[in-house]
Amino acid sequence: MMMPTKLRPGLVPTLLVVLMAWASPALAQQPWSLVGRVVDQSTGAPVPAARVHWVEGDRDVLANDDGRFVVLDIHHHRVTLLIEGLGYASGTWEVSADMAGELVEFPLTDEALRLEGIEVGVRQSAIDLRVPQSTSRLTPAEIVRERGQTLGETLEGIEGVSIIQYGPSIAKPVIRGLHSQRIVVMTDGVRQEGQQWGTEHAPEIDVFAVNEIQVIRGPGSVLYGSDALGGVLRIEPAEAPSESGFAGETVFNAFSNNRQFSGSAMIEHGSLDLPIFGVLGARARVSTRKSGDARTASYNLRNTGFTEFNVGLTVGAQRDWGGIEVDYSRFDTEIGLFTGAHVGNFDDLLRAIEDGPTLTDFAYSIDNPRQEVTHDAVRVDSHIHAGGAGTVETIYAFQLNRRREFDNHGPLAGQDRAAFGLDLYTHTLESRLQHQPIGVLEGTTGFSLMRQGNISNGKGFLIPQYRLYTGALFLSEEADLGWATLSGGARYEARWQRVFEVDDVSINVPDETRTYGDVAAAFGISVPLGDSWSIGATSGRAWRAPNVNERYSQGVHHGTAQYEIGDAELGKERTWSVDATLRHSGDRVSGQIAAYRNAISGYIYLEPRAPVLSIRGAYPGFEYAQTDAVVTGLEMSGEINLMGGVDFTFSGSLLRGTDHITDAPLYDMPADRGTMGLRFSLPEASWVARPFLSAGLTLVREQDRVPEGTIYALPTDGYQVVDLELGAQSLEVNGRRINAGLEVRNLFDTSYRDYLSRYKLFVDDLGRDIVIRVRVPLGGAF
Amino acid sequence: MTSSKVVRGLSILALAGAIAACDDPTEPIANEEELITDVTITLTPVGGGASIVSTIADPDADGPTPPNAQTTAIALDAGVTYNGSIGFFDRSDPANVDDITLEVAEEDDEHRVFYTVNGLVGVSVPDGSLDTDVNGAPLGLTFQVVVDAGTATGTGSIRVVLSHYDDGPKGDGMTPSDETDVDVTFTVSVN
Repeated sequence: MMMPTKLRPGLVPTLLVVLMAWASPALAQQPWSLVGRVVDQSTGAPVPAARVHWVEGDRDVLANDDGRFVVLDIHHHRVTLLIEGLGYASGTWEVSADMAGELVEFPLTDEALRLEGIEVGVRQSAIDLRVPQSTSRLTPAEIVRERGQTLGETLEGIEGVSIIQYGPSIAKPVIRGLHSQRIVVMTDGVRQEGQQWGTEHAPEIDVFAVNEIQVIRGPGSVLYGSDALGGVLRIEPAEAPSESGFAGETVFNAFSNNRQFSGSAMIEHGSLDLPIFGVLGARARVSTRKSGDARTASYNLRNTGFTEFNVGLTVGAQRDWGGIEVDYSRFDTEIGLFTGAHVGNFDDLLRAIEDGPTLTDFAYSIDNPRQEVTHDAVRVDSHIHAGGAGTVETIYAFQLNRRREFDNHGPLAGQDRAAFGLDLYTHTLESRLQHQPIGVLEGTTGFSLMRQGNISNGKGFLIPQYRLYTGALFLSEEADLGWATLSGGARYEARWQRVFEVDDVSINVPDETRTYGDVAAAFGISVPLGDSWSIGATSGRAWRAPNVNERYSQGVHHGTAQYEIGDAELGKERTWSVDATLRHSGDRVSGQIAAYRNAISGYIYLEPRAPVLSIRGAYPGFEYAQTDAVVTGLEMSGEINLMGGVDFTFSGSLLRGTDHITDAPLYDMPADRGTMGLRFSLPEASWVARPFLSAGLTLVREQDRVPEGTIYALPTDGYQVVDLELGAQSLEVNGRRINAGLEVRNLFDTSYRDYLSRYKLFVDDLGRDIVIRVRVPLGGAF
Repeated sequence: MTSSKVVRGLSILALAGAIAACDDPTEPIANEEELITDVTITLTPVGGGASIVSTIADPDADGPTPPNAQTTAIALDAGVTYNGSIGFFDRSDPANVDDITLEVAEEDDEHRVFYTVNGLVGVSVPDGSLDTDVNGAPLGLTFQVVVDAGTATGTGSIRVVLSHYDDGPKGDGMTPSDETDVDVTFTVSVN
C-alpha cells in the first residue's frame, strides 16, 4: 500500500507558477514507455510471465519468457508498479520518466524469504487512492535523510502531527491535538508501554533502529486497542534479514546546536546455518548518542544535554510453515532538564519568568534535575500458514520500563537518590488470523491480552502502584467492490485495574479495584473518481479508561509550579469521529486534503481551582475534571513536479479544540502551521547520484486560542523558520556508495517560542542547527 | 509442528512466567522524601526575659491541606530588641524528628532566609543582624528583631522565606532564588 511521504518544506513560489502547472497543457508530461525486465534477486535469472500492475493507470502487463515487459503510453511523470511472479514475493517500485529509454531491472525475492531494506533510489510515495483513512508514511530512505535527535523530531513536518517539547531531548508526538495516553505507539506490532501519561515522558525508541514509520490519523482503536483516540504511530524496524552473506551499516549523525554526536552500527546475516536451529537470519545493532546544552539564538539552555546507549538483537527463521522472529532491545537514556524551568512555588515562577534566562557557558554535564530511563523489550513473533484458513500471526512481548527522576529541590536535594522511581512490567500476547479472501472480503480477526504491574520505588509519590489486566477481541474487514472499497471493524475490550494503597500522611490513595469495558468500531469507504482522484470517508467510535495519574495525582508537577490533584471518580472518555479525505494522483501534481471532527465526551483535563498552600508557599491548584470537547481540523499535503527538475512540496495543518460545554479553547492545542519547500535537482556527476538542494519554510500562526485563568497557557506569537538541505540519493567515496546529507535548520537563527514548548514561559526555542548525516552500508544490497 | 519448535515455545512461556513473578506491586510504598513540616521562630529579648516561641506546622507536608495556624501569638514590646533564631524540622514521622536547620547550616552558601515585615510600624529585621555564611553573605538562621521605643505599633506579620540557591549562584544573597523551600507568615503584634 502506498502512502504519501513526508514532504520537505521550501521557499515560497509564486502563485503564477502554480497556476501554470495546472493550466498549461504544454507542461503536461509527454507520454513515455517503460521497458523492464523482471529477474530473480539472488540468481539474476529471468522471472517468466511475471505480472506487472501499473497502479495509477490500473493496467496489467505480462512479462515474456525472458522476463521482459513494456508499459506503453504513460502520461504520469512518476508511476508505481506492483510486480508479482509465481513463487516470488510481490514487490512495489516507483519509476519516473527519467528512466524512459533504459532497460530497468526489477528483482523479486523468493516467496519463502522476505526482503528488507532500503530500495535503490526509489521513493515509495505514490498516493494509494483506495485507502479510506488519512495516513502518512516515512519510507526508509526518508528516515535516513531526515532522522532527528528523537522520534518526535523525525516526525516534524508531517501534516496533523506536532510535538510537545522540553528542549531537543524530550519530544512527545501529538496527532490531531491528542497525545500521551490518547495515542498509541506500536513498535513492530507491540504496543509501547512506558509511563506515556507524562508529558515529559517521551517514547523510549532508538531512532537508528527505525526502518519505516506510518502515521494513522484519527482513531485506530479497532486494531490497536483503546487509547488510540488521536491516532497511531506505527514504528517498523526492519524484518530479520534473509539474504546470504554479511551486510550492515554504520550511521553517523552530528548536530551543531547542542554539539551532539550520535551513531549506530549494525551487522546482519541472512542465512546462518546453525546446528539444531537450522538456517537463521540475525541482526545486531548498537546505537549511542551524546549531546550537551542546547542553544537558542541568544543563550545556552543549562542542563539540556542527554545521552543514549541502545542495543538490539533480532533472530528470525523462515520455514515452509511460516516463520518466527525473536527480538531483544534495550534503550538507555539520561536526560537533563533545563534548570531555568525548574522552579519552586508560584512566586518563584513569576520571578523566573520576569528575570529571564541566565547566561551560562556550554557544558556536556548532566546534573539534577534529570531523568534516567531504561526500556528493555523482548518480542517473539510467529507467522504460521494455516492452510486454507489463512495466516496466523502471534506476538508475545515483555517490556520493562524503569524510570528514575532526580530532583534538585528540598533541603537534601544534593543526595543522589531518586525523587521518583517507577518500574513498569508489561506482558502482551496478541494472536490474529489474516483469513483467506471470502469472496471480496479480506480481513483479520483476533484477540489481545495484557498484564501490567507498576512498582514505585523512589523517595516520593508520583502515581500509585497498580496491577492491570486487559483483554480484547477484534475483527476488521475490507471489501474491494471495484466502484468502492469498504472497510469496517469492531473491538470489544475489557480492563481490570487494582490500585494499591499508599501508606503516607499526605497521600490519599486507598486500595481499590475498577473494571471498564467498551466497544470501539470503525467504518470507512473509499470511492475512486476517474483514474486520478478518490474520496474517502471514515467514521468511528473509540474510548479509553481514565489513567492512574488522572485519578490519583497529588503534588507539584515536575518543572512547573502546578499542584495537580486527581479525581478518583473519573469515568471513561469516548470519542465519535468523522473524517473525509480527497486525494489526487496526477501527471505532475499529487496531494491530499482531509477534514475531520472528533467529539470527545468525558474529555479529561486539568481545571484551575483555589491555590494550594503549603509550608513551601502557594501553588496554583489544578484538579482533574471531565467535560465534553470537540477537535476539528483540516490537513493537507501535496507535491508538484515542475519543469527542469524542480519539485514544490507543501503541507498544512489547522486545528481547533474547544470545550463544548464552556466554549473555551482546550489547553495544549497546536497552533496552525504550514510548510513549503522547493527542491532543485543539481547536475549529476560520476561520484554523486541525483544530488539536490532544497529550501524549506515553516510557518506557524500565533496561538491565541488559549484557556483563560492560567499562566501556563499564555498565547505565543507566530513565527517563520527557514531550513536548507543539500543531499543526494547516494555518493561514491573510495568505490563505496554511501548516503550523506547536510542540513541547516533555522538557517537565520530566528528567535521564537512554540506554543507546545514546555519551556516557553522562560526561554526561546532552538537557534540554528547544522546537521550532518552519513550512512555507510557494508556489503549486501545498498 | 516439530518438537524443537514446541520446546522453544514452551521455554519462552516458562521464561515469561518467571518474569511475571517479579512484578508484584502489592508491597505498600512509603513516602520517604525529606521534608520540612515545621518552622519554629524563637525570639528572646536581649538582656534577658521570657522567650516567645511559635511554630507553623503543615502536618500533611506536601499534601493539599493548608498549614496550621501558628501555635503561639507573637506580641512584641516596644523599645526591645529581640535575638531571633529560626528552626526547620521534619516531623512527618513523630518518632523520628529530623532537624533540617543543621543541614541548612552545613550548606550555608546555598541558602538564605529572608525576613519581610508587613503592616507593622517601627519593627524591623536589619540585614546586618543576620548571621553569615562561609563567604560572608547573609544566612539568616539567627537575626534580630528591633522594636522602636516611640513609634512601634500595629498588628501585622513577619514573612519568613528560605531561599535555596542550587541552579544559580547565591551571590550577595540579597535576591531570592527561584527555588523556595519555605514560605510562611507569622502574625505579629506590638504591645
